[in-house]
Amino acid sequence: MDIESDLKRALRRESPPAGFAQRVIARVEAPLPRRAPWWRAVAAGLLLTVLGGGWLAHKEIERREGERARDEVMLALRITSAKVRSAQEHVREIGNR
Amino acid sequence: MTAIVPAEVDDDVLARARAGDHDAFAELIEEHEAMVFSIALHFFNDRRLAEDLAQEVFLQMFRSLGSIESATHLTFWLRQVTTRRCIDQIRKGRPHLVDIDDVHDLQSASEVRDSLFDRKLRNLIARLPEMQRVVLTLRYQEDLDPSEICRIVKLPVNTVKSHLHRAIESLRKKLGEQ
Repeated sequence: MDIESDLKRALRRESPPAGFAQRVIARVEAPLPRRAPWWRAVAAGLLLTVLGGGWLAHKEIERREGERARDEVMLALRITSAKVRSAQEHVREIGNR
Repeated sequence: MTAIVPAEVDDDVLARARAGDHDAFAELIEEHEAMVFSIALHFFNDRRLAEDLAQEVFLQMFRSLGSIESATHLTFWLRQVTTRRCIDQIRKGRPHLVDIDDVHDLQSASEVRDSLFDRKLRNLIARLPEMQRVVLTLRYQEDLDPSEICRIVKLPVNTVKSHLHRAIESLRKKLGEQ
């Protein structure tokens, strides 16, 4: 078995199917897919920026309102606690008399 | 050993193609299509895949005409880009390899005329490790010697020789088993 000559025969060059060059040329000449005009991309970018900014501002307002409400509740609790303590001391004094 | 060199394309054809002349570009394709198509065909053993890959190679050539310096450089460039694309393609996802039993349905009339032995050999080559396939094709299809192959595949010449040796030994063994 002469593998070298077998390989040369098995691996000889072959032509591609007829019309190959024309198919490549057709792909070269095919119009490029139309790109959207530049101003559309800019407008889309601006819209996204405005929407994103609005959403972030809304979230910030919500966060601040939440913090303020929490602070008010804490203050009310502190006042209530002080008043209860003062009332307890008053009751204890009356009891001691 | 003398490498197969396509009938030398006039550098003028290359210059005209570079200037946007599609007829000149078609001339370049016709000059090299058998080389590019066959490298891919012997790598994949699949005519459809080979044609798709060969088309992509020539589209890349069209975009790269400005950097191709001469007809000789073009031949080198096409061999290098084709082998690189074959390897990339197989790394992206192993393509379907055609079995001997399916060959009659998919192959052209010329291949049906091939001897069963040649088809068996091509089938075995298509199952070798990718670099062994590449060096075997460049060696026996393109008639390049290891010192020329190593420039195309960017490997040391001894590595190329080792791939060749292993590929041939593997084929001998498999042919002996069948």
